[in-house]
Amino acid sequence: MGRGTVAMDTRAALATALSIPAASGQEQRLVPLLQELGAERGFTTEEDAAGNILWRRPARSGGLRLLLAAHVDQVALWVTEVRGDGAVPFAAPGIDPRVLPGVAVTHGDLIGVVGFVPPHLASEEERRRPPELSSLTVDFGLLKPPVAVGDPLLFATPSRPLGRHRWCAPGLDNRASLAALLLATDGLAVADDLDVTVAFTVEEEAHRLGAAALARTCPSEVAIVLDVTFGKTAGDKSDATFPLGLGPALGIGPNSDPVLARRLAKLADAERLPYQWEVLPGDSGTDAWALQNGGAGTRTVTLSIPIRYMHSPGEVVDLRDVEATARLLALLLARPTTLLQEVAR
Amino acid sequence: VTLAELSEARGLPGHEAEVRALIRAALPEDQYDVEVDALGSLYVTPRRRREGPLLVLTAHMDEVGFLVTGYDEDGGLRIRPSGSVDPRVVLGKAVLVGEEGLPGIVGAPPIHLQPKGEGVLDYDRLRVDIGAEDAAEAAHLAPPGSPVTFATTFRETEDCYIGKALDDRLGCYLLVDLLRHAPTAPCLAVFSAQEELGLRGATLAAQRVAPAAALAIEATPAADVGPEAREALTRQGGGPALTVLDRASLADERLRKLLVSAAERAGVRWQWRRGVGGANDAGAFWPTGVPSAAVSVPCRYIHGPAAVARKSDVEATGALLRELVTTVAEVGA
Repeated sequence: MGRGTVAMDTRAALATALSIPAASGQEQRLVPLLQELGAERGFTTEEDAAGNILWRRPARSGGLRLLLAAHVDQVALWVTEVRGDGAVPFAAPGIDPRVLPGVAVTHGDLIGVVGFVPPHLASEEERRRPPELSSLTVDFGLLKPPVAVGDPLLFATPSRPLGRHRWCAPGLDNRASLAALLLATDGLAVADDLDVTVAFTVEEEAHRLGAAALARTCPSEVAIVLDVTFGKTAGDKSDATFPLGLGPALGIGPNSDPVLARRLAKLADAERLPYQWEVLPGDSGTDAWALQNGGAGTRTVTLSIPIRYMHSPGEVVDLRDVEATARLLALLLARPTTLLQEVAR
Repeated sequence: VTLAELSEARGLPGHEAEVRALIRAALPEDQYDVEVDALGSLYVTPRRRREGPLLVLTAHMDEVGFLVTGYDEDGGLRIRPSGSVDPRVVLGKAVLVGEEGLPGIVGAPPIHLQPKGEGVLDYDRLRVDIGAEDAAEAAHLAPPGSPVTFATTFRETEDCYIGKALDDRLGCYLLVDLLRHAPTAPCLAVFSAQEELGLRGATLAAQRVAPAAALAIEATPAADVGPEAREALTRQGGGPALTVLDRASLADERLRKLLVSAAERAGVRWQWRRGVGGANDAGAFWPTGVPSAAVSVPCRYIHGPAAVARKSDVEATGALLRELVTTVAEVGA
């Protein structure tokens, strides 16, 4: 693979990255897949005590330790009770209750739907109110559904291409980043003096527990945290949202090292790779927050792919943003020296 | 034809062709006379129909959904409901757009950027994302008036059917099944169009045919889960629901008695539909002076992305209908 180019098909990479969904705590499901994909790319795969899945590739000489981290868990509904009539109440942290009435969820091979009162019976007053979580239950169409308190339920929305350049699926937060990593490391060319770890972190959606552990189990000079950020839709004038198709959002601010960020931008500029600036005055909302000041501390930068409808049953990403992210990462892996060395030492 | 095929078929009011084709294909033309009226309703008569007072049986083919009405500059589609769909069940759902069924998603703004206490997103604010990058591409892919339906794969569990448009593809399924079981019944089956816009297909049918009696086969709400369960109209597992009075009709007493005795002879559980809300095709025949009634399958979450119906209720409804048609054939309506 040439510098800054990707060989693997982006749609195939996304389909692979989305093929095994996992709620926080279920990330171990991905180990066999990641082991296989890692081996194809010249990585050995290990797990740390927290369950983070690590691809390792030591430097041939010397070695600056570069960490690429992407969480692989996704938001879920959590079973809080299984009632006698088969109805299943749940908690839904990080999810807007407004998307829930009528939504389909999975529990292994089971499909359930979140129920609602049909319009024939809903009062005018009720129709004006958003649904309350406490009144919602999942219906598996079974009198005795084989689910238990504490089980996660994942959105069952089909994963599929949308239009010419986009993809719709639940869990693109953060499997879009996994897809970018698969692309960037396909036919991997790594500089001799670079010690690379790719970390697939656990429990980001649950207080970033994986990244906090990772800072200690995987000390590095430089870390790039790959995650998603908010995609823009019509009429949205916010500076915290980003149009789809204009490249990944490069974080800059206290949680995304400004020196490192500007170096990465320069690298992208030199190769005419698109990116957007994401100004982060505080917490980036990503693993970078826990990683930066954990362990011995790590120079950390965030690189985020804009997605629309985050944490909803159907998130949307632009394939070109996944590709641009992958190209930038591939470039960095191929010739990190000038970019990273002075920053790190 | 399977319930899965009927459920997954796309058929908004006025766009019933796909459902109609499935039903026609299930009824061989050497055994049934078939006619389509100006609104698209399908009339099916068994060729070997016995002489006797005519019973019309109706089930509607259309389902609720949306039509594309406009475009945002970022390629988002604006939609309006065709039939009654509570906007609260639309957000974040997968849909199919246009005659070709392009995949789309009803975009939900991220919770992180929502002010606390943000209200219901109504049709002025709901948008369908089909991956179009600007208004022109969106309009090219999904011209104004394009149908938008929920994208739901039909499922079957040990106890239930789960799928979209069970209101009233369950009725279509039961009526096709009935025609095949009773090829000599003195019946006319009307698979009606545009029920969801106010019984429009059945209204036309009621003027075109003058039956001795009419019976609508429907899926009716079973709001029997959760805190609102006390207001349940029907209960799942209780068998077919018989109506006394709804928003559009008063069930004919003789027909009601016939239905009750048919249920009892068939040995199935049945229940009265409580409450007087809702309406169905029986209400189109009633004003023309034709004795009419409805038999309904209790169904959860109708008019949404996925409804749930109990298999035992569907079977019991089928058994009741077969018994009824046998009786009518013997004694006349």
